[in-house]
Amino acid sequence: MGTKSSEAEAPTSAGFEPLADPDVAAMRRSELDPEAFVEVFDRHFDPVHRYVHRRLGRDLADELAAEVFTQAFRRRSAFDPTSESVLPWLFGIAANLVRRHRRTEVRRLRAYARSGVDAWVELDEAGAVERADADRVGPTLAAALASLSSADRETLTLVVFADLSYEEVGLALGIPAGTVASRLNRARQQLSARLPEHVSRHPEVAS
Amino acid sequence: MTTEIQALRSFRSPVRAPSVGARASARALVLEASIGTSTRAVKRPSGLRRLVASVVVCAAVVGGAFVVAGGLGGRSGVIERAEAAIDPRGRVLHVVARVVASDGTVSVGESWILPAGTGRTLTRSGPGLPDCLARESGLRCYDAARNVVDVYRYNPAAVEAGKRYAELPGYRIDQPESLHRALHAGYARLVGATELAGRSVWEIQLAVPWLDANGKATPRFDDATSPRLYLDHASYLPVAETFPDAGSTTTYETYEFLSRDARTLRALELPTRPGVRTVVHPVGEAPKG
Repeated sequence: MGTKSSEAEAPTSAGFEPLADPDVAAMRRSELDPEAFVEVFDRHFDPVHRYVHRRLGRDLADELAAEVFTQAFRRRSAFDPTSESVLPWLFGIAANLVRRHRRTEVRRLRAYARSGVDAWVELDEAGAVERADADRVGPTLAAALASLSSADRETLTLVVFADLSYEEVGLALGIPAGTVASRLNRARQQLSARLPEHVSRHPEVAS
Repeated sequence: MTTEIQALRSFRSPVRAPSVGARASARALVLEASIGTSTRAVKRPSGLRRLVASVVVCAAVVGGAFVVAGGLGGRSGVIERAEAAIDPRGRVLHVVARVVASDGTVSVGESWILPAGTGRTLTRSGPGLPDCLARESGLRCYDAARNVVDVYRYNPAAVEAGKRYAELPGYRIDQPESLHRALHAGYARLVGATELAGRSVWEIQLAVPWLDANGKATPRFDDATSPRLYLDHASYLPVAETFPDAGSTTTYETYEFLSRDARTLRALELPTRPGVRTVVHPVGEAPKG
C-alpha cells in the first residue's frame, strides 16, 4: 500500500546515526518510551539469572534477577548512552545485589564444601556428566571461593561466570582495569593453592 | 590438564535455565514498571483503595464535561473550550487529592496517570503509609522506613472479575469517552448545578456497576452508595467527590495534564533509596492497615 513506517523515515544522516548496539539504542529510547526497556530484559534476563544462580542458588536468582531489571529500569537515566554495551551495567547491578547476600553465599559455599552436596543450585540434567566431573573438585572450589574476599570473589565470578572482559568488569564495578587484574591475580593464586595437584595453575598468573 | 580457571568455569556450569514462571514473573514486573497497565481498582486494600479509586473514577469524569455542556444546552464553543482545557491524549493526568474519611482521618494523595490502556497510578499517601504503584495485577509499595518495596499481587480470579467490571460503561480510566459513554448508557446522570464550598459546580451521580449472576450488567443508582462528583462550573474539571457508602469525601487540590516527557515519566516511579530490597508477598495478600 506504500505506507511508510516512521522508522523507515527516520533520518540516518545529518547528525543522527543509527546506534550500533540495539541494547544501547533501547536504553536511549526507554527514556521517553519506557516499554522499549523490555527489549533489554528479553535479551539479557537469562544470562543475568544464570550468573546469580551460580553464585546464590535458584531461589535468590529468581528474586534478584528480576530486581536487577527493575532497578535498571528505575536508574536507566544514569546509564551512559555512549557505552558500547549494556551488559557490564546490568552485571554491575547484579553484583551489587549479590553483595548484599554475601553471608548467604559464603554459608552455602561452606555447606557445599563440608557436605559435598550443592543443595541450592539446580543443575540441568543434560549436564550430568559434566557435573559428575566437576563434583570431584566442586567442594574444594566451593571452599576456595568461600575463602576469597567479597571483592575478589565478585571480580573472579564476573570474569568466569559472566564472561566479562577485564575492561567490562571494571565498568561493572566502577574500578580501574588494573585493579581488576590485581584482584584476579590474587583470587587465582588463592584458588590454585587450594586445588588438588592435578589442577595446574593458570598460565596467566604464573609469576 | 585442568587449570583452576577451567575448573571454575565448570563449577555449577550446567545450571538450569530460569523457569518459565520465573521469567514470566520477572518480565511482568519489568513490564509493569515500564508501561503500567490499566489502573482499574480491583480488590485494593482499604487504606489506599479509596484514594486510588477516587482518582480513577475522577479521571473518567472529565469527559463528561462534553456531555454535560451539551445536555445543558451548552453555549457555542463551550465544548470546544472544555475539550481544549482537558484533552488528556498523550498526556499524564496529575492529581493531588485530599481524602477525609468517615472518622475524620485526612490523607493526601498525589497521582500520575497515563492515558487509556497504558495507565499507571503512583499514589503518595499520607504519613505512615508507603507510596504505591497501583496496577492491574497488584501493588508495589515503598516503605521508606524499611527501605523495602513490597510487592502485593492480586488474586488472578479477582483481577478477572475486576476486568468484567472495568468493561462497564463509566467504570474505566480512558478519560473523555468514559463518562460520555456512561451518561449515554445510563451509568451516570446529571443532577444539576449547585454550590460546593462556595464554588459553582455541576453535580453528577455515578451508578454503582452491578453484575448479576448471569454476568449481565445493570446500573444501580442508590443514594446510599452512588458516588457524587462535582465538576467546576466553568472549567468542567473535577472539584470533589463524595462516597456515601464509605462516608468519605475527596477534594481535588490539583487536577492537570502534564506533558509526557522524561521528567513526568520519572514521577511515575517509586522514589527508592540505594540498597532497597524487594519483598514479594503471596498472591492475594494485602498491605496491612
